Parts: sequence; C-alpha cells; structure tokens
Amino acid sequence: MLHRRPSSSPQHHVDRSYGLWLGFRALSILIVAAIVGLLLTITPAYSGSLQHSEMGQDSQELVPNEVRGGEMLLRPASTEPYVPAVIQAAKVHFDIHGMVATVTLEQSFRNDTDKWVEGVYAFPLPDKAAVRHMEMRIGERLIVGKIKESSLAKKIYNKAVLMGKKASLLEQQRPNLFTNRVANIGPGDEIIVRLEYVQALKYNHGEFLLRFPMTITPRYFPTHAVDYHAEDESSRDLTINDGMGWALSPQSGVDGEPRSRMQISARLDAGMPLAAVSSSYHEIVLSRSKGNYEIQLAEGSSAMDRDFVLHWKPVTGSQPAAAVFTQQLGDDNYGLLMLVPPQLSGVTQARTLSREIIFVIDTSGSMGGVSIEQAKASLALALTQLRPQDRFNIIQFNTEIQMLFRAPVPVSRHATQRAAKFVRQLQAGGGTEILPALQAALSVQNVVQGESTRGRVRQVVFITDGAIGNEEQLFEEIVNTMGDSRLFTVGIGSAPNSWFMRKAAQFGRGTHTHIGDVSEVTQKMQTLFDQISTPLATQLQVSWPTEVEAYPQRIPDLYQGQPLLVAFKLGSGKSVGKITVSGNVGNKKWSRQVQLEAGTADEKQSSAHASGVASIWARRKIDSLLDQKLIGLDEVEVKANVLAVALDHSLMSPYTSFVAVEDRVYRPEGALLRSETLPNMQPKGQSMQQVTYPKTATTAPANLLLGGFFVFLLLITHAMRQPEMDQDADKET
Amino acid sequence: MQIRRLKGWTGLFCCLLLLLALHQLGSAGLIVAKARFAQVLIGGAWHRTLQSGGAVVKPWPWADTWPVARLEVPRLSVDLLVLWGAQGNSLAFAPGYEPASAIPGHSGVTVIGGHRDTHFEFLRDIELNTLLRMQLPSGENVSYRVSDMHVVDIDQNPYLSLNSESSALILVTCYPFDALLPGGPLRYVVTAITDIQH
Repeated sequence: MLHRRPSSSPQHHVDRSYGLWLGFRALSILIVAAIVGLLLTITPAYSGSLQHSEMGQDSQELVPNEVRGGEMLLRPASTEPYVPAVIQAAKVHFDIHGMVATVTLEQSFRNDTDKWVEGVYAFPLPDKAAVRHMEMRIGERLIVGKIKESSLAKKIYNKAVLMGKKASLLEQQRPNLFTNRVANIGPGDEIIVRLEYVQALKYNHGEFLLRFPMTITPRYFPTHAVDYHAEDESSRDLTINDGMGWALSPQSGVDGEPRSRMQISARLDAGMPLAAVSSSYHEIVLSRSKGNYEIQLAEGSSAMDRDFVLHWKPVTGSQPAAAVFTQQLGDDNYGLLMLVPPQLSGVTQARTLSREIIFVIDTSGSMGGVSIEQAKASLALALTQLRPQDRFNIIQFNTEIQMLFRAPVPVSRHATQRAAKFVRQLQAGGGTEILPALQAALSVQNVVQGESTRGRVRQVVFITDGAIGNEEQLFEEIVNTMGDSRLFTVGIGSAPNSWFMRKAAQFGRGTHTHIGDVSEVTQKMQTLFDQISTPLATQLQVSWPTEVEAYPQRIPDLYQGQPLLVAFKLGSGKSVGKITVSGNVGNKKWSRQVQLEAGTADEKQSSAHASGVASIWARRKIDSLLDQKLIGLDEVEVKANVLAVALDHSLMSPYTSFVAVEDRVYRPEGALLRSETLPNMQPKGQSMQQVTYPKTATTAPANLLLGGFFVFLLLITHAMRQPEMDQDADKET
Repeated sequence: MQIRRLKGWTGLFCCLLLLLALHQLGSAGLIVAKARFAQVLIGGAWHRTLQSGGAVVKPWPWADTWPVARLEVPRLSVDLLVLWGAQGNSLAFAPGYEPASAIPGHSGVTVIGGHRDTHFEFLRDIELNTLLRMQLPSGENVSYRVSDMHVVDIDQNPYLSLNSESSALILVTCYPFDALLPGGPLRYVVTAITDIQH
C-alpha cells in the first residue's frame, strides 16, 4: 500500500489532484468499455438468432451453414411452419340449471391475408349434445341460421359461395364431430359463428358431471375394411389418408398455441347446496352470488389439447333421489325423469356372483404415449380385483390379436401372475382392428358353453381409445353376438371416441368409463369394479299416468351409484299423476312413485330448470331412431323419421344441417376463393404429438460475468483510493 | 475535508461492489454446485433403483422427481443421471426426461432436456455418429447413434414433433452455448437413433 514514494512538494499536490481526476476519467471510460465488452459477448447469440430467423423464412430448402463451434446443419424444425390464412378463436359458456346445461359456443374466423378464403373447421361436441341454434355475426349484422335437410343446406351454401355471399354451414359428420364452413371471408374480415346446444348432465355416485371435448382423436379406418362407408353420407367429407389409415389430416397438430385456445366460462345454478365444485384438468376460479356459481378458467383460456370436465357435489343429505322437470313447448309437454335407486350394501350379493371376465385391451399405435400406460395400469388394477370363483382371459389387439389363454381360466395365483407379466410387456403400435378382437372376445363364449357358463355372469371389459372409423360394423357385431354378455367400455386418453364407446356399452348393456389421466386410473377402475361386481337394479319398468313417448325405450340395468334418466313427451293439456318405477334391486322387488305435474300453472318455478328438456327429448328420439338403422331397419325409413323430428325441433342430425347466408354480395367478381382447413390440436398424451421445448439455460454465465465485472470495478476503485491513503500517510509524517 | 468525505463515499461504494460481486459469484457457484453435487445424491438413488429392479427411488426425501435413466457418452466421458420431468425443478439437478415423450427404452421418441451451461454443455462437442448409451431402471442398456443436429427457433416452431418411424432419443439444450442470458428462443436439438450393433 505504501510503496509509493512519499513526497511533499506543492507541485506534487497538483499532481495528485490531477491523478484523482485522471482516475475518475479512467473509471468512467472503463465502465463504458466494460459495458461494450458485455454487449460484445452477447452478440454471438444475437447474430445466431438473426441468421436463423432469416433461414426460417425460406424454409423450402436446407442450407448448410458454417457456425462456429463445430460443423452442423442449420434448418427449421422438421415440420414446415404453417402459415395460417384464417385465425380461429373460440369461446364457450355453460349455463347450467339443475339437470340441464345450455351451452353456447362461439367460433370466430379472422382473415389476415389479402385473399378471399373459406374456413373449414372440424370440432367435437359431446355426443349427446342437441344442437338447436346457429347464428352468424358479421360486424353489426346478425344472420340466424336455418335448419335444413343436409343436401338442401349444402346446395344453399354452395350457391352462396359462388355468388360471393358470406355464408356458414354447420354439418354433423359423426354424432360427436361437427364441421363449420365459413365462406367468403374477405381480407381483414372477422366472422363469428355462434351455436347453442343443450345436454342433460351426468349424475353418478352423488356427483354431477359436465364434459366438454376439445380435441379430436384421429380415427383409424381399417385399410382393408369392407367398404362400409361408401354409401354413408356422414363420412364422405372426411379426408382419409390412405398411407396411414388416419382420417383427418395427421398434420393437424402443427398449429401453434394462439389459434388453438378456448375461453371457458360457466354459470352454475345447481338448485341445491353444493359441497364442492371442481374441474379435473383445468384450474378454475369460482365466485358465488345468490346461490349461483360463476366459473372461469384461472388462465382465462385453455389450450385445446384436453377436455374440459366440471363436476360438482351436493352436500350430504341433499342429494337428489328423484326429480321431474317438465317444459311446455307449443301444445306439447316434455319431461325429464331422474331417479336414484336405493343404495345396497351389496356385499352378500357380490360373494355369490361368479363371473367370467374377458379383458380386451387396445395396443394400437394411437394408444402410444401416456394412453398405453393408463390402459396397462387399469388392466393391472383390474387383475387384482378378480375373485377366486371367477374365470378370466386377456385379449390384446392392434393389427393382429393375441390371447393370453386359449380359453378363460379359473383365477389362481399362477394365472394372475402370468397375466400381470403379459400386461407389463404390452406395447403400443400398429392399427386398430377391433372387429376380430370383439369376435374373439364374444366367441370364447361358445367354446366354454359346454362347460359351466351356466350361472356365470359374462362380462367383457374393453379398454381402448376407440380411434376407429368402422363403428357401425362393430355395433352390428355386438348386437348380433352379444347374447347375455355385458360389455363394459373403458375410454383411455384425452380424446377417446366416447360416442362409440358409450353406444357400444349401450348395445352391450354395460357401462362406459372414461379415464382421462393416469391419476384417475385407481379411482375410476375401482368404481367400475364395484359396479360390475354388484348389478344393482335390474328389469326396471316405468308406468306412466298418461300416454307418453319415452326414451330410452328399453331401460338398462342400473349399477351402484347410477341414476335412471328418462326423457318423455306427454300429450297436450294438463296432466297430473304419479309415475311408478319398479324393478328388482338386489334380490328384492322394489318400486317408487314420483309426482308428475305438467302443463300446470306452476310453470314459472320450473321453467328455468326445464328449458331445453324438449330438445333433449328430441335428441334422444333421434338417437333411438338411428339405433334402429344400426340393427337393420331400412335407411330411407329411418331418414324420414329422423328428418321429421329434427326439422320440427330444429336440431342437428346426420340428415340436417344449419345454414346461414348473408344477402349482400361481398367478394368481387373474379377474385378467387381459397379453402383453408383449420388444424386441430393433437390430443394430449397421444403418440402422434408434439411437446414444447424445455427451458434449458441457467443464469450462471450472466452471474459469473456480472460478478467478475463487480470485482473488476472494486479493483479499479481500490486503485483509485490509494492516493488518499498516500495523503493520510503524508499528514502523519 | 473534501477528500475525507470522498474517502467515506468510496468506502461505501467498495463495500457495495464487494457485496454485489459476492452475490453474483455466489449465485453462479450455487448453480454449478447444485448441478454437480445433486448427481452424487441421484447416483445413490439410481443404485437402489437398479437393485430393486426398476422401483421409483427419490434422491432426497422431499424431492418431487426421481432418476429414470443413466446417460453415457463414452467418447466425451460424460456420465449423467436423468431425472423425471423437464422443468426447472429437475433441470437444476440433472438432465430431465420430458414425460409427454416415450418412456426411455420403450418404442417411440424419448426427449431429454438439459441446461447448456451445466449438464448438457457437452452437446457442443457432439458429432454425427457419436455413440450414446442409456441405462434403464431395469438395468438394460440401449444404445443410440447421433443422426442429426440442428438449431430450432421456438418462436417459429413451438413444438417438437414426436412422430417417428423408429425409436429415437432427442437431446435438447439452449443455443448458442456461450450466450450470456437465459430465455433465448433457440434450441439445439440432437437426434440419435437406436443402434442395433451395441
């Protein structure tokens, strides 16, 4: 410190102050220099990113590029960036009253290009949704869509397209898959299509459930299948990729987040005190006012890669046991009857019931990723639920089928161990050939029939994502060969084809369980097994005070925790009386009466809860009519019957579509119209999918450099302080 | 007098600088130390996983992640344990397996991410045909050979496609390697396909 020569001349004093000044100058220069240095070290990153974005623009070719730090090829990601011509945004609102949800779905199509385009958007809706209203909004103008027979609606739409009018066509491709086409979206235009549907809520094990699908499972069409759909209008518009056997372009997941987000909100008026309201796969924000719940997503909007599921639970003691909702529409009265059979202890029955259980597990390519793990976990759990008096077998299928045992075997430790090993080794890959698997599962029955199937309940548990396209062929097989067996379907993954699985379970007189997340496997499979080991109510019958048309016509068995739900139509006028439901519960006869009051003055009180009941009834009637086609009734007749109901209630169906046409001509003559398919997000957890990139850098280099910089400054300042020290030393001397 | 006051100010300034320097250098040191030391703890957990034939063993009691594989690059003498989850909580300690991708050793594309300045720094030295070896919880070994390296701008291509005919291992880290600040849009993506010979 004191290595400088002490001196005391006046000149030195000047020198010293000059040195001080110099030090300050130097310091500021050094700071500037350091900052420049800092910037320079950042520059490589910066120039790298610039280089890259330039490359991204002409993504057609691969350009080898010299980059320091080794040889490598710089190119955009393997998929070409998709430049969307039409931006689509969506908003959904659920208005829930009692047992009925009225849902409004808004899709907006915005065109940011300088060309005239047609937007085509395929989207899923719940498979029991009764779509009853559609409107198109262009700026301030509102055009209400009209329900027409599909072919007529298409003609109207095509004509409008050619004439350059703005138009929208809403079509049902499958019971749970719809397409919306919007024509002549001009440069900079925004067109909003709003549709409305109603659905009855699910009530199970004391809990209400609302499910809104947000993605589409690409369907697998067996490549060598019988030409089953050639005549079928409903599948004509789907593009089928021959090479892969996938319907709907597998490119669908290329889109980025901005175009695939949906705003979700709900208003819940349950009509009873609630213990809990929650959402399975989304974070929600709840607010309460006057017994109603307002529900919003915590993030405002959600990526459309998983279904929205909302469930709520009445407080203990206020669970509904029976309820009737009625609605008057025109001259007719419609109603919805819900009834929960009494709970059973069930243990005694479970002990005596011996079963033959066939597990069928889908190991096709679409089950890859998380789905197969969920399926395996479900199956492994199912194996632990078998009882000593049961027999069982496992069948796995993808392009081929493989059976664990040649015939069902009695449950033993050896057998279950072999089964568990078999399950562990399952892997996903190949096609989804359900038919041979179903045949195998059902034909096993014939082999064993000679032995001791008598007295055994035969249950087939079918675990799949249902990504198939030949549904009707399968239904026919189920209806024709099911016999006394019961079919239970377990849907796996974010976007299982729940229409197929619910229908299959309906034809097979079983139930459908949906597992959307690995964390649900244990609970859901346990529930299913509790159910199937104790069928609760059988041979149910409803007797009505007056003439009614009720759906479902054949009432299924009810299992523990399931309610009976019947939609019915009464004649006109006032009808008061008692509805009697009777059947066997456990081993005993059981019956219950519910008061029916329709067309009475008390309309006001129930109207809020009952709007939409008529639509639900009509939708169920259409379902029931369509079922007749599946089991062999002539299509012409079915179509006529469905059309009558659908047009009367202005509902979407395979034979009816909504069409809205604006009167003004927009597109100038001669301007071309491009058609743009809007991609869907890939369901979460499927193997044909993308993941986002992880964030893979730490702040360590920045910390290190900044730290070094501070040390450097410290040294500089220290050096600068030395003259002061010298002066102190001078004073002392 | 004037000089004396100046001295007080400079002293304060020096103290401040010292504190800032210590804070920054300490942060950097902590990041590196965490990355190094955690590997030792995870190593213990991995050993128990292998012994038990594939059980999930947490490296420390409050961990929300566990080792799923061991990744070796013999040429660069890299030996790393991979944790479940490719978010910040696992990546601080080890490279992270992206749970939405195929489970290591299963058919499909497995994605592993790692910090460019700690565990995955070695990726800058990787070349085509470099051999990667992965040990699975079952004790089996799977080998891969690097088949492609490229840079992706996630602002333009936000998703990493997992569609592949064959099974593959994808290693992802931030790019460029010597950038100063985290959070940039570039990723270095190394693809390796199953090597049958090994």
